[in-house]
Amino acid sequence: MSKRYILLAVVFIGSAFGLVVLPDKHDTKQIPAEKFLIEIYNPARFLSTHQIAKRLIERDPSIFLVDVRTPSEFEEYSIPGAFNIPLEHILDEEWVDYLSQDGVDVVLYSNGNIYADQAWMLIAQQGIKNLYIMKGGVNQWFSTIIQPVEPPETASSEAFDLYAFEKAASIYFGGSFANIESATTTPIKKTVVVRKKKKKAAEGGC
Amino acid sequence: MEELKRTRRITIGVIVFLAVIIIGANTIKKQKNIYKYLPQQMIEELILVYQVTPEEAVDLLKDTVSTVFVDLRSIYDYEKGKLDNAINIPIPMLLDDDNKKLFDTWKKDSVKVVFYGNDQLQANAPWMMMYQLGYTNTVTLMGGKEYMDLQMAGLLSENSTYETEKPAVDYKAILAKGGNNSKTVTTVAPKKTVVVRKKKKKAAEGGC
Repeated sequence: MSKRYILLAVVFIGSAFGLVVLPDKHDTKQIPAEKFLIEIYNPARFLSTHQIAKRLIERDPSIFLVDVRTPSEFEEYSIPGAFNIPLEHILDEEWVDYLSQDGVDVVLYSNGNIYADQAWMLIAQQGIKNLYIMKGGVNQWFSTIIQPVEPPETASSEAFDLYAFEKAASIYFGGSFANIESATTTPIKKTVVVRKKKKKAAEGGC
Repeated sequence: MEELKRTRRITIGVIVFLAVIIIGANTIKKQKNIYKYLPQQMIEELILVYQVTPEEAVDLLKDTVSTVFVDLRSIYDYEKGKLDNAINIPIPMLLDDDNKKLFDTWKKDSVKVVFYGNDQLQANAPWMMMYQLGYTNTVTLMGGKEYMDLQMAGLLSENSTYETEKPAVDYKAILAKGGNNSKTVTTVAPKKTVVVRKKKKKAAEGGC
């Protein structure tokens, strides 16, 4: 009888040792690579400068722009309303709430695409949703919104519609068309004040 | 009799326990791809050199022994035109078993793997993922295939650059020319408020 008890004890102790050799539990917050690869491949993670300009003009409260460039670059120029979190600090604890907001689209940008894409990779693999990249960065912002170029005459009507929007956006964001607009504005009409003649008090006749 | 019953119960209990342990151990979900670099570690790795310039790529293309170029574009794009000796692995197929075996071999043999897409952006995210999975022998090609084509055809213009993170224009100067001036011109002058004073009614002056 005692043999059975010993066997039982051995089984339990043996299985306890088995737990030691189990693989480490990995950070469950990190998206598995196979699943994350599909997200990487999805072009919906990019937003165009036009889409962003439109939402900024409409004063859409559900967009939050994050500039991942250095503070000096940010100071020199930044898109109106943007918040500066340099790439090397993007994972700092203090910014977590800024980058994961319910119902708010967080849009990352840099001068080009690469730094914003790297910031996106670092944050998005932790399972944060509603995270986007402004495609082309500030360079694209300047070539489309601040200094748009007129499409050739043979371009499609859509291209001209887009150009019309770009011109309007340029005025809004103080780009090159703001000047042209100001030069062509009609001079303010001078208002001629017509003074009514004072009515003379009725003078009685004699 | 009572003793025998108890013994039987213990035996059944042990068998069930062992069965649960064995089934559990066999069905445990093993993570197929394990990240060797967590995001916090990867942010430090980003400071290291992880990209090759198009000029360097020209030399690397000649070295087919210790360098391999991986074309991350679609099969269609690859068939249309590729860099010499490049291997096509479209992004969604990067983690397929066969391809992972290839990457393992290259890592073992210290072969430098150069990822490229149409531009650098296309290769950047897949490169970061592979690097985080432990394939530290990988780099990206700056400028991508489009820049390489222009370079090889001698069609590079003054505006062509593979350093996309550099400001293409002087932002401050442009806005100083455009925006700031305009602000001063277009500002609407505050309307002058005209206070209309009611005329005092004069007392009716009577006639004589």
